[in-house]
Amino acid sequence: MSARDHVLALDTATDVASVAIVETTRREAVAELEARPSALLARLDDLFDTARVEKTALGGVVVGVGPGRYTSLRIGLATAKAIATALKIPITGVSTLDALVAGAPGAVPLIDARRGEVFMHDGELVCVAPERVAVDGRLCVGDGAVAYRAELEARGATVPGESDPRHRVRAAFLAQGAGRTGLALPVEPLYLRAPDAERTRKEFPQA
Amino acid sequence: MSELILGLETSCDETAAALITADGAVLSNVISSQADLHARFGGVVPEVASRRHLELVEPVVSEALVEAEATLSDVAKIGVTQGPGLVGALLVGLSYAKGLSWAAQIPLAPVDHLHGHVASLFLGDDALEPPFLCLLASGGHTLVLVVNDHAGFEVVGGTRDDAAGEAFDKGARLLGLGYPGGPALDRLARTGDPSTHTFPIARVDGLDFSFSGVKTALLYAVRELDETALAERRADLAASYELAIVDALLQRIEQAAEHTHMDTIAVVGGVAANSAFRARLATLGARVAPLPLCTDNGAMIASAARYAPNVSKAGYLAVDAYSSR
Ligand SMILES: [Zn+2]
Repeated sequence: MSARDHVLALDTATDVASVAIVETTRREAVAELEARPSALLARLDDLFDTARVEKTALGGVVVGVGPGRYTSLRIGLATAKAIATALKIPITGVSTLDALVAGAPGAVPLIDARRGEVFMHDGELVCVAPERVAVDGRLCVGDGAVAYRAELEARGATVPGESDPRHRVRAAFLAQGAGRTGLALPVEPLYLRAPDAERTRKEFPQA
Repeated sequence: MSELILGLETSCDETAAALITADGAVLSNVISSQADLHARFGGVVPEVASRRHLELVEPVVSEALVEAEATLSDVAKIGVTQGPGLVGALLVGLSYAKGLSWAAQIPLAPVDHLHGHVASLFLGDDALEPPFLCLLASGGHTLVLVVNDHAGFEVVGGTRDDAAGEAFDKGARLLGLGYPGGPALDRLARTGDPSTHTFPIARVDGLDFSFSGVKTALLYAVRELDETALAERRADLAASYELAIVDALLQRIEQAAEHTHMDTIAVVGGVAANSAFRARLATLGARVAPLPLCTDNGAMIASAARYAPNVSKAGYLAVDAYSSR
């Protein structure tokens, strides 16, 4: 009865959490919604109700591992790990930047890292000032692109309007990306910065 | 045996999970302390703590289940610390517990950390029955509580500044004992003479405490000594300092007992692990939580959950962490 033919996908790397139930064979989201990261589980429960999908129909969990906001990433990862453990199904991590690209092929995905920096993929994952992003007239998407629009546009980038859906991370794309490219990451946040105390210690080792 | 309660605690620097039975027997109590991780910073770094909790929460819960020879299907209720504590740290445990509850359809009880400390007395064969007077003394709190029933308490006294455990930690740092300092100071004090120095404890109104003055007094005492002299006097200073704090705590409990007309006195929290304090409490006939239940642990959270009202599914799915009461 309960063919495990659906995947739960969720991403909490940015201020808007995204959740989707994806049908495995068609790789199509049967339901998805956005929520505040702190309201993730309450909305997730609603999603299953409206989609009329049973938890027992889940064959896996896919979770966005960032880079992004640390506290809200941890909410998503802790939730996803617990669900996978309780349902005894596998869990996969996917880069949130990959999910952004899946929704805007060819674009440069940028996630706001605060403190005047963006998270981006530049050969490797980095945390840099927007002035250092190689844009070359390309399309930039993500909340990092919205936050540093002026800096990016001044250097020839195209940044869609703030309400353009390509800036939003859609969990459905996580599931599709993970299935297609098999870019599975460990289920741990992609921390690109050391904790503050650690950095202070390095800069002032005697402190 | 689908009657177990799983308790999960991540409010500060211990990732802890435990399983207890419906009548309060502790089946497992797994505590993974991050103390070593924070030692080089001289205190708990919230971001470092949160990262570690996320790494540890799953292995700690699974070890608690294994030690109890149970699986999630044996769990009838999940208790989890909602606050007070470090919000980022709390959110890891809370999110994990909520995810388990939702997916495995197990009722969840959000627990107040302080109630958890009190509920450590309701565990085991000789569980303490309310009413009683309770001193909760830890690194984050120093409270005098009247406990009239299993489900809550009334606060009748608190600290105006530092918590008692904080006073021990800060004293240990002044004496160069590293972090966490409480246990190190306890060990050193056993080799010292507590009558060599007098550290006055401020008297404040009501049933409140103040520990900032005694810390300053120690600072001045240490400043007067050169390195050699300090090395010689360190154990005596530790013993005298410890005595001052222990005296203040005991005086207040006795006053509170008189004031509230309560005969039974109990002490919980990390400071209750201090050996000098425990010895004095024994002569007073006070009840002290067993050692593994003094510092933050999952069993006390499970114990509090045992008496917490059931929360509706919609209610617990929406529950959020809080940093202070
Ligand atoms: Zn505590």
